[in-house]
Amino acid sequence: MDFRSGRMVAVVAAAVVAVIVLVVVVAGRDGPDASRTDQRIMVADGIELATTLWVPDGVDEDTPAPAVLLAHGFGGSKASVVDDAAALAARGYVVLAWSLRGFGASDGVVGLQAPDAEVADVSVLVDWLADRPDVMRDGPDDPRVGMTGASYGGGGTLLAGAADDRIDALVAVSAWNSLPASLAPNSADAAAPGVLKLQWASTLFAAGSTPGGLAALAPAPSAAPTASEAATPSPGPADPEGAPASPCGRFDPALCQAYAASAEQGRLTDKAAALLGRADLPDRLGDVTAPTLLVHARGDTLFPLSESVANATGLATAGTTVHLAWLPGGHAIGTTEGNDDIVRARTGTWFDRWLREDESVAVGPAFTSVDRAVGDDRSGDDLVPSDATTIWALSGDGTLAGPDAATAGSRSWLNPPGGVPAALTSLPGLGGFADLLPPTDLPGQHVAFDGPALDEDLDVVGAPTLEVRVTSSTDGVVLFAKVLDVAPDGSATLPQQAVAPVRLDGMPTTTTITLPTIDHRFAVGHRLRLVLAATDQAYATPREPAQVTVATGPGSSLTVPTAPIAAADRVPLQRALAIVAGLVLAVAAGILVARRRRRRDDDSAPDPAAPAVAIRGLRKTYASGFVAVDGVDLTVEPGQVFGLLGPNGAGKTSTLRIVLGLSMPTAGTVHLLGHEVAPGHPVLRHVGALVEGPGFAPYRTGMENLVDFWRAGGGSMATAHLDRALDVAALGEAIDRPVGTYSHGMRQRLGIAQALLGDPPLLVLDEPTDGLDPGQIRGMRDLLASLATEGRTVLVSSHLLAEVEQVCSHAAVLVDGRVVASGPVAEIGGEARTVEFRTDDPDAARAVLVDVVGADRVQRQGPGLLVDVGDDPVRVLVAALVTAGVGVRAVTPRRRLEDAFLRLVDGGRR
Amino acid sequence: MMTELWRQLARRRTWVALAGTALVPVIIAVAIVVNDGGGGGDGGGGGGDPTGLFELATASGLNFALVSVAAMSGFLVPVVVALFTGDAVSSEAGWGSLRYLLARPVPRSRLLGRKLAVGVLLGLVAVAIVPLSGVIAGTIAFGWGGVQTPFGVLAAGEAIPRLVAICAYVAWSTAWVAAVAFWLSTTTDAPVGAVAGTIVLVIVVQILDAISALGSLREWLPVHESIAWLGLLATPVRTTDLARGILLQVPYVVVFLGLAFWHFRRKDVLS
Repeated sequence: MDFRSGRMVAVVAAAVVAVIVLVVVVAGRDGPDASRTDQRIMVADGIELATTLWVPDGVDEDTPAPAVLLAHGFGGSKASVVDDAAALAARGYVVLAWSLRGFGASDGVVGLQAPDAEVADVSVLVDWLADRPDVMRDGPDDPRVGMTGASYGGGGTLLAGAADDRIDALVAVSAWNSLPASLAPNSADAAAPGVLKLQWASTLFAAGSTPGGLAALAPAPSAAPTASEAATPSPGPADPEGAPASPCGRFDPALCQAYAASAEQGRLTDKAAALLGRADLPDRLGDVTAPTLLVHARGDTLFPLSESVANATGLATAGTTVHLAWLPGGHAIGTTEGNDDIVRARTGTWFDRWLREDESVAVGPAFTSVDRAVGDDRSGDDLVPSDATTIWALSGDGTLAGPDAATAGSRSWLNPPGGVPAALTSLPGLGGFADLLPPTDLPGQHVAFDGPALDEDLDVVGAPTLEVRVTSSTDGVVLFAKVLDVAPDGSATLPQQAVAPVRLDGMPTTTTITLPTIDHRFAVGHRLRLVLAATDQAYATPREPAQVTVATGPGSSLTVPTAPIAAADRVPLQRALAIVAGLVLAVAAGILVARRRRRRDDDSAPDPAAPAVAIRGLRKTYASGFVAVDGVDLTVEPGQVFGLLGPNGAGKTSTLRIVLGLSMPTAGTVHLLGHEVAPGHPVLRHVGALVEGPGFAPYRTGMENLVDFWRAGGGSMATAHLDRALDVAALGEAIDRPVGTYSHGMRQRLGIAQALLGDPPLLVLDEPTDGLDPGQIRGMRDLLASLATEGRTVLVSSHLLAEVEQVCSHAAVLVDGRVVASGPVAEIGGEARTVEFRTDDPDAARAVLVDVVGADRVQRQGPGLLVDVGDDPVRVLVAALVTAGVGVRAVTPRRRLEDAFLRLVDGGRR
Repeated sequence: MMTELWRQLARRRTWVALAGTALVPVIIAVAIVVNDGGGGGDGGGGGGDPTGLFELATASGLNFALVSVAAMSGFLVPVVVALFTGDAVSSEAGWGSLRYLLARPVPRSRLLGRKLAVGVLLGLVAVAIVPLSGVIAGTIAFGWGGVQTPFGVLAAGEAIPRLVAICAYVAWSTAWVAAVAFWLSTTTDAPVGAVAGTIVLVIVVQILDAISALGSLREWLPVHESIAWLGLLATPVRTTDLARGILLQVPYVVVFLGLAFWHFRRKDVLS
């Protein structure tokens, strides 16, 4: 049975695993397959764009689907966005990806999202989609279409959304707000000339003019959503580019010249600013009507976080639905692990909501800042949810103090001749490794103001501002302002690698510097450090030496926007703990109640008047349908040694199991000593048992097993009568050896000893002589006899008849689960007495005996004769044989019980 | 109850399991010390260190204890817990001694309750051994001090209660393992079947939890919040996931322990 149930468990487990695997495989499939077609689409005279169209399986003119335009990042091509396209196609969208002008196999020159070039192209592609019958339509020539892209494609997405109101939803990743302000920012006055972001400008220019683009400059800071895709230069006949023919590569020559001039001058020329300004968004956001999701990395040093805030507020001001999501990492959003999945999921739900117009799709709160620390997201319904400010003043002793405590004075630094060496704060394209870069400021070239150690966490969300009076030995000055996080051990980190470059003209001047937008927690014990530095390697800095001075005192103030740190919401935890504690208490109470009730009911005293064992109408049908016990009635009176006889499989052991409460009867009752037995019933205290062989923990000694057994029943060792049991076990020294070392017979004796523990008035013994040698069998017989004389009741099952006949006063014969005979052993044996005669001459003997008792009572069996002697004394028969001259060798009484047993078994089966 | 405890404590496998649990932090500590200097190359918070704790392992003894808990809470602790609870009833059935225990005048549910209590107690000891061994080995190897976490620094006085809370959470997170193992234990005579079956289930559930295609289904797997204890390292303590993790165990524990008792009270003891 155990084997079968074990196999059953294995089968069920295997089935469960198989189902799970199936579910995983089915659930893990990437949705419907999509067919891909490459084609060139004419967008302007002589300009064709290389495109790829994904049409999901099952989308055709009868069941059209919304479309998504997918733009790539700077230096990439349509090949860079294959994974994103596949993800969108798997969601059921028709996806059109193309290589923008000047990239991949497309014609034209790079115009940095010029309105009449790249942006106009998008409208042509929308027209093209409108002609496709498998794309859903809002009206004639108006397809249901969304657009998404990252960086170059992200800015392009917003520009196209402003230019063409047929586009119904936008997801712009790492987009700029103003290109001139991003490439040459001035944090004191966004409209005034800024400081050229030299490293980024060079990197981008190289990317635009080199085949393979930015991808060739690994680790790719490319705007392509996946670094791996961007790193795969589109090979094959679709991309026939060779080496650049000119230093300008595929750049618009006008842009190229403007760049060269700017790099030379270390500042953006007016012409360059004007050209870049063609792709400016601030004035265009009002034209965007499509719901827009903005995704931005907090550590973006090309288009800083403030660009996403400017876009979001611009769109919100115009009344357009806008959500803003901040992710960890740098400009190349996909180089931070996990970001791609987040971006694809957010993009997919955004389009599901606004292209499929499925209002059941939850797009989440308007603002999310994902994974600021492990597992710590911020979200809110306001776009940038800072609602309190902390104000410090720059103090003359180089600290940030309370506005009233700051001492007036000044602090100065030098701008080194030639602008080198310069401070190092960031490198373009470092992606996820950027955090490892410690900010380095050079002595003498910066001033620092340290705040007090924080006595509680400070969450800074948004852009701190610095109001300060600056004087310089020169007319104009460039400086770099930043806020560092200084740990108690003195190590400093620059949150998000964010630096605010400032160009000031007309010294001295009082100005308000907008520091970088950050979302950063300054932990308790840490300090804020405001640093004003002369140089930064990432920027073009002035070459003329200068001494720059800032005034300190109450008027020089640093204002820091903060978010309240949500006091950890302990309510759920308390509730959870309360629920668990409640459950534990309920279980404990249940146990106590059950125990008390049991104690009340614990009336297990044996009833001397009742039969020791009374079995009435007992039936046992196993789950397999096998009927082991089929209506057994038995009564064992006190003091009887009762034998339960039967062939193997007659139901003896099944009956005894029920008697002991080990298994439940299907029908009928069992009373022991006057109590109806149930599993674990207290009356079992007065029953000793050996069923189906002994069972002991093999690593414990015989003695320990006996003690454990007795204690498990809750009895004290004083009532165990251990000595008697040990006498019976007769194991000698072996009693202190682990049971695992015992022979079968030793275990059997220990089992009988265990049954005798506590000196029980009723013993139930199943095949007690199994495994014993003849000497031990005799000892067993004597033991049972002595137990009987002590007034104990013994119910013993056996298939050994001699045992039962010699020991038992009463017996019952079980056949096929039924009692076929029951009563005193003598009665079962019956009145008939049979004697076997062995003689020298069986034939002569037979004749003599037939004469005496009659032919029907003499029976030949082998060499002997079986005679039913009836009332005739045996000596009469012997005398007759001797008189007749027949030599008598042996006269033996035949086993009466054996005969009766065989007769009963045969009869019972018939 | 005490009898059962002594019975289990007398078993060699109990001591082997507990000693093995205690040994793992020591082995990690020795490995780090021996490898020190040569083995910094794979740093940088790679894929094998989702919690960001491992690179902080050598900061102090308490840090190392924390890392030990982090390293072992995922698989080793569930295995040891499955061993203690999965073998509780099935081993008795395998030896044939279960029928004698059940023929005693003790209700089956009480017997089962004792087995469960002792199995759980040993499991708790195993969970407690991990940080204890970790803190001893770590202090010897790296010295005493506060805890550096990805979120900041905790003084020793504040770190110790949090470490205790973390261990309590880790222990409770394996409650479902104990419940499943215990239930399997009541259904089979083969201890190996109950223990191995549970371990297979733990692996399958962990794999399922790693398959992002299952989406929100995963949120209902009992291992989904198994690293929510990280929230106990932050200041202030983040408890939302923790609360979810605590509650997540409840249905599994109730169902499987319910099954165990329901089945065991009714079962015919044939072994």
